[in-house]
Amino acid sequence: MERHFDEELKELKKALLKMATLSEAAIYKSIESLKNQDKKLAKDIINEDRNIDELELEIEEKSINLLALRQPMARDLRFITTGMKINAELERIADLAVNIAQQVFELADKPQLKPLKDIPKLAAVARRMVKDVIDSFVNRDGNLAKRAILLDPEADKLKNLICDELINGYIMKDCITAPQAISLFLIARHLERICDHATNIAEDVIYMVQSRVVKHHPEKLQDK
Amino acid sequence: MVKMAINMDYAERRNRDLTFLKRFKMSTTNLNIWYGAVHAVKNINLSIEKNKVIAIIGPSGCGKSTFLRSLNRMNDVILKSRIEGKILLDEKNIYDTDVDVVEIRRKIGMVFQKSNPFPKSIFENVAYGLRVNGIKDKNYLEQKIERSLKDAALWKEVEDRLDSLALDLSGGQQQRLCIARALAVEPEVVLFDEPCSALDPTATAKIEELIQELKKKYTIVIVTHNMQQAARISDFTAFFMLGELIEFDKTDKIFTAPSKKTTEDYITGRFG
Repeated sequence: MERHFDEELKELKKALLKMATLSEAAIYKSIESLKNQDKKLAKDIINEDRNIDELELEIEEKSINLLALRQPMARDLRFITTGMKINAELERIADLAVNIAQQVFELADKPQLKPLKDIPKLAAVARRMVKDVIDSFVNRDGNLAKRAILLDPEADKLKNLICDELINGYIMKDCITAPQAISLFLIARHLERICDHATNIAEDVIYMVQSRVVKHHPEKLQDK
Repeated sequence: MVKMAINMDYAERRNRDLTFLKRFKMSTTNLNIWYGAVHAVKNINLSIEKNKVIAIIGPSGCGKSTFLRSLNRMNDVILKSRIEGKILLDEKNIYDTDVDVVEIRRKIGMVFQKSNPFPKSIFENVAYGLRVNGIKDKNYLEQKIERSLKDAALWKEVEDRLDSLALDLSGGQQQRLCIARALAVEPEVVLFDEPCSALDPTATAKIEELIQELKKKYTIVIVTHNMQQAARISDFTAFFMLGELIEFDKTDKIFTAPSKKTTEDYITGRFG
């Protein structure tokens, strides 16, 4: 017999999935708006962020209610507490997508500084990581979460490469194009931060599924 | 040379045993209990640390109360019950033939599900065990009773009416009186068999606070149906099912990330 509590947990999971879908879509749209210099799309991302903020509060309230009223234990407790953390990470991810969209306004209507090459690559890693950690949460797949974490060094490498090139090739050389270079620099930084939040989610998923704390202990990732 | 090796081995073992004894107040080894043909407790090996609270949880009929009662030989009074294995209190097996059962029950006190004060005054209830042990000195009795009632967090509520009938106290007060009565004879271990199941939340909270205080002086084992209670007050939790000890670990581990699926299913309410 299914418990009422199971129904409530399903509701919470559904809300978290909606949050994940919206955040993932925000990243996708922010990259598209950057590629196409699409200010309308960038504006949409900024407007839609309100819905994500609302949903974050709703999930937080649902989770607190479940903790107070159901006093969950073990796997239920781990699901709700990690759900709360994932919720906050997803909201930050959506905020970073908004930050990218804001930079699109700075870049649009100006000649392109250089063809975008490495930023789309970094964006692809970020999207892949976010998608994988969401899948790992949905399917309670600790191994997929671990694989997502292992992508993070690649994101760091790409971000450093992009930033070095922008600093040495543009910002230090030409003050006229420096604002555009700084915008691209910030976008790379935001994308890299998205990857960091995805890593946090992956660590939470590993705790939820395997009861192992790998946060701040990268060596523990090798244990299983 | 060989002799020396044996001696060293002995010394090492003795050392290990002493370390064990220093840390643990009680331990059971291959403990089995039967009621007639029913095998109620199956091969339990469990060590109880000094000055800690150990909670025993499990579905009805899992053997948790039987196990608890065996710790101070309360099962002796049940006809057709049979026990095998060892239960050590410090170094002594409490089931050895030379053991004085009354003395064991003095050292290992028990508080029951339903408070059971005697139909006597508050004072006489607490004094009962001391009088049975031959203590007549009025001053000593008064001191001891005050100390026990203070330890049981009841003194302030009854200090001016020690001659009143114990049965006139509220349910929670009666239960604390029973705790004071158990403490008066200076036990080393106190066993609680669902001590709050008949109490309201306020009285329950008082007993839970009290148990946390008592562990500074005593070792405590508590059987409870209330998992939140086990989580709140115990340092270690043992999960029993069908007479077997399924899992025994630190309480925070049991309630956040138990090792066994059966434990997880039980504490998350998926069965039982």
